[in-house]
Amino acid sequence: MQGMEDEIMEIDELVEKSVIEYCENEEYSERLTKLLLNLVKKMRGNELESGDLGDYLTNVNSMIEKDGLI
Amino acid sequence: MTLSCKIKRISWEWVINFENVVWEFNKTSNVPNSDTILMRNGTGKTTSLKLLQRLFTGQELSMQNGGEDDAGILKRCEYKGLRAVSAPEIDDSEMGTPRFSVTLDVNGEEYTLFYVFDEIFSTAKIHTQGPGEFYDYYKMPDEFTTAFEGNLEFSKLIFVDTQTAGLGMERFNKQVIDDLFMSLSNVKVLRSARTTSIPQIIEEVADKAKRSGSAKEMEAVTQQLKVVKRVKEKLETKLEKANGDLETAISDLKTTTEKIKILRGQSKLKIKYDKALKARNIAKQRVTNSTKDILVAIGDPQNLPESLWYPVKDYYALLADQRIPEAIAREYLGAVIEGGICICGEKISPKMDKCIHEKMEKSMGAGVLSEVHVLKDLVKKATPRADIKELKNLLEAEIDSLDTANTQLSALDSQLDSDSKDSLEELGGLKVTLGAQITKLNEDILMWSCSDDGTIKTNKKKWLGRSMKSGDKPAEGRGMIDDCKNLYWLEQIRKHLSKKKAKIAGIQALDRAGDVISAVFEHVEKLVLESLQSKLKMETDKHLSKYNMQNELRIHSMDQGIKMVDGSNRFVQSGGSTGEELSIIMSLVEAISSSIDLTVPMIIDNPTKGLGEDKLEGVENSLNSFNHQLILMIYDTERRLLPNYLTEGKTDPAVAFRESEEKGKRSPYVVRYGWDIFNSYTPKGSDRIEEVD
Repeated sequence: MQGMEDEIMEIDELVEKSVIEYCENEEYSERLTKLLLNLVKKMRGNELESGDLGDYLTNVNSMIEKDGLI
Repeated sequence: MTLSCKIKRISWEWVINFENVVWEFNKTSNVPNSDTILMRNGTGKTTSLKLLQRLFTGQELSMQNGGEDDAGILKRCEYKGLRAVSAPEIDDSEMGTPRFSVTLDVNGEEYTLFYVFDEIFSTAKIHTQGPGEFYDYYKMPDEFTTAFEGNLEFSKLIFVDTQTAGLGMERFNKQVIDDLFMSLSNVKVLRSARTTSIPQIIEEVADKAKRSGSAKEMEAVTQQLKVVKRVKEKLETKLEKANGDLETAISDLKTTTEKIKILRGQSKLKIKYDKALKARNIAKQRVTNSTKDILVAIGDPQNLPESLWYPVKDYYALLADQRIPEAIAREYLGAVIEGGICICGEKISPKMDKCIHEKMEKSMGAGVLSEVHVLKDLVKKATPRADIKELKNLLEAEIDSLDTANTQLSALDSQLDSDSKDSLEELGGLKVTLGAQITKLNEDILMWSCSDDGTIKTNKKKWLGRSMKSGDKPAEGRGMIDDCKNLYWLEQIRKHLSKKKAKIAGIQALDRAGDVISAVFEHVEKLVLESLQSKLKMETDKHLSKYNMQNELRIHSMDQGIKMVDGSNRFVQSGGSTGEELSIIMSLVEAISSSIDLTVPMIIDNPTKGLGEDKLEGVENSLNSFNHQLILMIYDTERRLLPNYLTEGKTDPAVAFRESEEKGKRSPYVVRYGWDIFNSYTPKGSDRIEEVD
């Protein structure tokens, strides 16, 4: 049974890993990585209310400015 | 995601042909995963299948939708039953509310999804009965909606209409398979956000922003984006319609082919036809094999004409003799040792010096270098393996044989009586028309939906017109955008214009934030998709090995839809017979279950329809090897075609029928279970009832 469970693909883990991997490659700060991870999680969990995505855009905007990415 | 879903019950109330009928899974026996429902031809099996496909996905039906098949399905759902024919047994006042429902076990809890039709069958709304509550809309648990909501292609994949099977495997194309995997892994929502929601927010902000550019520029780009939106809607509508039309055309082509077969089989010339058809099939197979051989020969550089091949061979022979890469590497490392400083900056100690010398001795020629050496040697020794001219002559001779076999068939057709001859001519004409229609639809679908950069650019004249400027830049003019017939390129135009608008509005920073989010989303989608493709390819292949596939067909790849390869690993193909297609679907369903913990039922409508005897064994083997819930919907004559599956211990049978079919005295539909009724039931007259199309 344990073996079978190992076979099951953990998509949530894979998603998290791929966000972190991307952010590391782009040398994003830890807080920007956390923000993006949170956004992906909420998006997939259908937890975003109307206007939330716009707020995320604004937050990412100010964070990339602070991090000197633009 | 963990989803375990089983069908417990299907109910029909005053729809299609049924009064008030309930069929229950595992009603009478303990065969855990397989039931078979027998209904005479024309009762409404395929319509029921289409309703299930859409009910699972939460798709309400409306005559106004213009969506795929809505109008056709609603029309077929209209109750005919006891009100049909010349002597109706009931009048309108005796009818109840028309409903169709399926009761499911979803992760151990019971849910019922209903279609509730209006009186004139112009709409069908969805209601849901959950474990404790009733909703007048589609409300299923998250694990279920993640897999099914809005995912009609997945529903169609597991609720199989064999009328559309075995002809080109359209159900396995790239768009379908990518969509399926992205839905199952719940990352489709990311794609929708980056292609629709984020651009929309940025455009709204740009509209309200303080401009840095002129009002005229802003107006121009806003109008251009409106054209992009309009063209996108137009292309999406066309694409959706074409997909629906393609499914109908494939199904019609299969029915037409079957009718031709029946017409020939019923004639006095049956024996001659059998012989001629056998000869034609052999000739066809030879043409197929020779075509494959010539393709492989052309693809092998050793068979290139001498004028092209010998300079390459000479060059590699020279490389092999002089071993240039090894010499360069030696020279480089020699220089490093001589300089006394390693690449890392550290001084080379005697110990390191010794180590490098050893590596030079052992490693030069290993790894990549050894592959180069092997390649050089191979090329040096290469000689032509096949005479392409000879293969071409063989293929031409085989095409002639196929033409002769077709002429013999036509000669037999001309000997039929005039009525049959007319019918056959009409069907033959229809077959040609449908074939041409399918080709055209496939071309159009590819033009609208292709996302491969190379293919798009190859077809840019026809697909993009003036919407691609010189230097492969997106055009901006409204008339030019109108020329675009490819959704992927249209998205590139939109991105370009959005950037321009953001700049005019002075919100480049927000636009850049949108790019950051979109790039992360795209990366996640890509990675998840690749992982699923790789994992499910391996798992599907593992399950496929237990099915008896012709030519040992295996999965070749899943990144361009599902491509198959034969046992020799030489011939990649995207098509298969009905039996092979069923085996692939079953293997994929089993792979999904074992890889991402998602167990779903399968329904197969008319599993043997239109199959020759040689193909029946394949279908039977596939059914016998499947391990999840499987429901077959069959008609009368299919019973004898699957003797090793439709037998006690393998499946639980049921029959839906009218106990009295005498005109004017017909009784309502009932469902009876068990082998006695299953084996003894004989529909009166033709297998096809009169009142349903």
